[in-house]
Amino acid sequence: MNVFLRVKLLLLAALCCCGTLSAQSDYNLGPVDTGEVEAELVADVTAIRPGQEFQLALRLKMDPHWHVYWINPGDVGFMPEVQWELPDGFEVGPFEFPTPERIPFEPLVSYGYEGEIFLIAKARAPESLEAGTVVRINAASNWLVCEEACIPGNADLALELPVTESGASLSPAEYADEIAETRAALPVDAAGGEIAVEDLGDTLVFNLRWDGLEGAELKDPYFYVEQESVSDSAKEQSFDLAGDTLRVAVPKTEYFEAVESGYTGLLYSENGFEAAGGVNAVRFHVQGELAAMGIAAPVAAAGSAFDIGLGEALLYAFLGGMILNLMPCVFPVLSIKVLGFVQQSGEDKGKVLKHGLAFTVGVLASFWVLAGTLIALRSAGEGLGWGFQLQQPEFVVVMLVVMFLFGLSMAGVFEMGTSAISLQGKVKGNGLGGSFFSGVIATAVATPCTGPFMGQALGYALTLSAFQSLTVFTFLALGMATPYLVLSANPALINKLPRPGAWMETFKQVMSFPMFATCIWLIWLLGGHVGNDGLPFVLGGLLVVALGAWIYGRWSTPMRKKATQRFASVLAVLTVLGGIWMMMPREQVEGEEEIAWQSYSPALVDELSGSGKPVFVDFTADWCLTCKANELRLFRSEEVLQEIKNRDVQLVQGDWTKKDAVITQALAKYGRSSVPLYLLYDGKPGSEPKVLPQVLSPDTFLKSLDEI
Amino acid sequence: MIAKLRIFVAALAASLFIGSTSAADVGKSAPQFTLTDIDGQTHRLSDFAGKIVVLEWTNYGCPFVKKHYNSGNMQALQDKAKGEEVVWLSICSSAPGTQGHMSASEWQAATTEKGVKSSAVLIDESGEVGRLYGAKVTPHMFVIDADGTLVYDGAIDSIPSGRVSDIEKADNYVMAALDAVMAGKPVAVSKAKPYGCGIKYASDS
Repeated sequence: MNVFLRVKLLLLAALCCCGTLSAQSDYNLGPVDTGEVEAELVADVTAIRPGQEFQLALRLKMDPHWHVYWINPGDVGFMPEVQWELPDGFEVGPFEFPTPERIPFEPLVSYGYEGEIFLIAKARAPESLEAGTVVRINAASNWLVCEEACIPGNADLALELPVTESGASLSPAEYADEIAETRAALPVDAAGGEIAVEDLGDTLVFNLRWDGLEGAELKDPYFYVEQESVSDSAKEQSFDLAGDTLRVAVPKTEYFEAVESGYTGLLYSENGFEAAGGVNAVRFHVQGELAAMGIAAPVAAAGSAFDIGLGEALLYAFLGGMILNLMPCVFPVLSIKVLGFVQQSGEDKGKVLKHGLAFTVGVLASFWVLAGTLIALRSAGEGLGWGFQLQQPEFVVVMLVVMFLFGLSMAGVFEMGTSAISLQGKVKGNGLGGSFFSGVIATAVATPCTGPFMGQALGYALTLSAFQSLTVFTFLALGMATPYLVLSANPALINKLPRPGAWMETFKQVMSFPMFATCIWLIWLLGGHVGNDGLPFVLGGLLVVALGAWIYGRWSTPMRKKATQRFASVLAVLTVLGGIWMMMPREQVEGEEEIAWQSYSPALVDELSGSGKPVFVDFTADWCLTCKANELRLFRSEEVLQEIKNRDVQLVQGDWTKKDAVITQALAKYGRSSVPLYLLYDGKPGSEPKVLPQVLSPDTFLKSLDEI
Repeated sequence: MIAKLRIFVAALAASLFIGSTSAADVGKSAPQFTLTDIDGQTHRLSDFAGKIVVLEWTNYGCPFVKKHYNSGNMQALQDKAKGEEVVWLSICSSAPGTQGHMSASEWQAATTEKGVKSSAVLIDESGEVGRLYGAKVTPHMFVIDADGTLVYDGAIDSIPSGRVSDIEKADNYVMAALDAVMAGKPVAVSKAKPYGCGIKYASDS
C-alpha cells in the first residue's frame, strides 16, 4: 500500500467519522437509548394518506425505579417537552398526559410515571400530500428523569411515514395497541361536572360536583391539581362525598400561589368511574359556584334570606330609594322642589334639568358619605373582632332593634326627624348650589324614615365588600333622585302626581307591616343562636324597646316643655338600651345544650390524654363557617353521640373566636394558623394525637374512633 | 445521655416537620442549628447574629446544582455575598451512601476545583437541619436578615430548568433578596417554589 493510498484511506475514515458525528446530532429514526431512558417517536399507523388524522406518541421507557413527570410534577421535577419539526401543512396537538402516579421520595412526593409511557398527541396530515412520497417528522425531546439522582435527558427523534392513497400498509404499527390502550385509559372530562374552591387558609377545599359521583364508591381517591405551586403533594388529602358533590381537602404548599383563572385537576379512584366508561381518573375544569353546591349549608341556610344576590339587592335598593320619596317626611318636597326648579329657571327646560341634576348629585354625595361612614364603622368593628354577619347574634340583635324601631315609627308610635319642608327654609342659595343642598337635606331627612326595601338593602350592604356596599348605596341614591330627574325633565308631569295628604300617613302605616315581618324573620334567626329558652329574653327585650319608643313619642314632641322633652329623650334611650341588653345572647344560653364541652387548656389535655379515655379536641371559632358546619354535622348524628357516650370520649373545645394566644400556640404546634383543627388522643399516656381532616364528616370521625 | 437527647431532638424536629408545613417560615425567626463544616469546625447560626446569612442546600452530583456551578453563577453570587459581608453557608443533607454525600477530603477537592466561595460548607448527613428548614431540593436557597428573620425561601431564580442558557434570562431571587435586605426594603419575592433534585435524606426512622 503506498503512502498516498494510506493517506486517502485515513481521510476517508476521518470523513466517515465526521459523517457519523454529524449524523448523531441529526434526528434519529427508531429508539434512542440515553442510559436510563429509551426514547422513541412512534405513531399508531405505518402509512398515511392525504388529510389523515393519526396519533403521534413520544415513547419513554424508563429503567426500573426511574421516573419522569406529569404536567404538575409535585414537589420536584419537570414534565417532558417536545419541539416539533413538521413537514409543511402538518398539525400536531398538545401531549395528552396519562393519569400520573404518586411517587414518594421521602419526605417528598412527586407526580409522574415509571415503566413505559406513551405521551400521545393528535396529528393531521395535509390534503396536499402526494402518494408515493415519504414524510419525515422530527421531534427534539427533553425530560428530567429521576430515581434517587436526577438526570436531564434529551433525544432528537424522527419518524418516517410513507404516503399511500388509502393509508393502508402491510404491517400494523408496532405500538398501535399500546397507543390505543393508553388513549383508552386517558382521564376523561367529567361531563357536566364543576369545580369550586374554598380557601381555608392552610387548606384548599375543592368541591367537585358531578352526576357521576352520585353513589360512587371511591377507592383510594386522590385529587391531582394541574397547576404547580398549589397543593402540597407530600400531604394527605381528605375526602367527603355527599350526594353528587365530593369535598376534597388539599393542604396548600408553602409556595402557594393562587390561580386566578381557576383551578383544574384530575380526580383519581383506583376502581374507576362507571359514569366515565370505567377510566380511573376524571378531569374537572369547568368553574362552578360554591353557593350552587350548597357549601356551608347548615349555617348559611339560616342567613339565606339575605342571599338575595347583588343584582337583586341593587334592584331593591333602587326601588327602596324611589319609595323613600313617598315617605311623609319627604314626599311634600317632591313637587314643591320641582316647582321651585321651574320657577327659578323661568320655564327654561335646560335649566330645570340642570337643577334636577344638581339635586341628584346632592343625593348621591350624601349617600356616599353615609356609606363611607358605615364602611368605616364596619372596618373599625372588624378590627375589634365584630363580624357584621348574620351568624353573629349581636349583629342580628342590633338589626332587629333597628328594624323594630323603624316599624314602630312608621306605625305612628313616634315621629323621627323633622319634615323636609321645615328644613327647606334654612337653605338660602337659590342657584344650582341650592339644589345640591336640597338633595343633601332630602337625604338627611329621609334617612330616619327608610323604607323596608332600604332596610333589606342596608342589611345586605353591611355583609358586602366596601365596593359592593358603595354600589348598593349608589343605586339607593339614584332611586331616590330618579323622580326628581324625571319631573325636572318633564315639569308637566307634576300635575299628575297625587296631592300630599292623609293617604301618605296611611301608606306609611301600611309600610310598617313589612318591617315587622322582617323582625319576625330576624327573631327566627336569633332563635337558632339562643334556643327556645332564650327567645323570651329576645321578645321581652323588644317589649322594653317598644316602651322606650312610646315614651319618646309621647313626651319628646315639640308640644311638650323643653325640659320634659330632654328628660323623656334620655329615659327613652336608656329604656331602649336596656331592651337591647336584655336581648344580647348570654354565654350560657349560646352553647350547644347537650354537648359537654370542656374548655381547652394545655394542662387539661395533658391530664385527659393520659386518662385512658379517648379525647377529642375541637379548635373552633364562631366566625368559622367550616367549623360550625362540621360541628353541626357531627353532633346531629345520633351515631356519633351514641359512640361518644359509649366510649366516654372526653370533649375539649378551644374557642378561638377571640384569637386566644394559648390556642394560637396550640394551632402552631400542628402547623396551622387557623381553625378548624381536630385532634384525637387515644388516651394512652404520652401518645401523640391523630390530626383529623379539616372537613370532618361523622363517618370519618367514627372511623378514626374505631382505629384507636 | 447526650446521645439520647440528640435523638430526642432529632425525633422532635422530624415530628415537627411532619406535623407542620415547615418550622422555617418566611417572616419568622429562622430556626437555630449547629453543624460541623468540612474542615471539622463547628458553626452555630447564632454565631452570625447581626449578619445577613444565605443558606444554600447543595449536592454536587445534581445536574441543577451543576447548572449553577459549571456556569459560574453560584460562585459569582457567593463572591458578591462575601464582598457585602454576607455569610454564605452551603449545606449538604445527603445521607451517607447517597448522591452528593462525600468524605471530608472529597469535599476539599471538590470545593477547590469548583472555586466555591462559601463562608463554610456544612455537613448535615442526618438531614436534621434540612428537615427543620423544609429544604426540598438542591439548590434550595434561604436568606436570613441581620435580625435573624427568614426573608427568603425558595428557588435560586425564576426559570426552573436545567439549561445554563436560562440563567441569564432568569431573575435571580437570592440576589434580589440580598439587595432588598441591604437596602432596608422588603423582599419582593419572598417565596418561590424551589426547583432541582430532591434532597437525598436519610430515611426517617
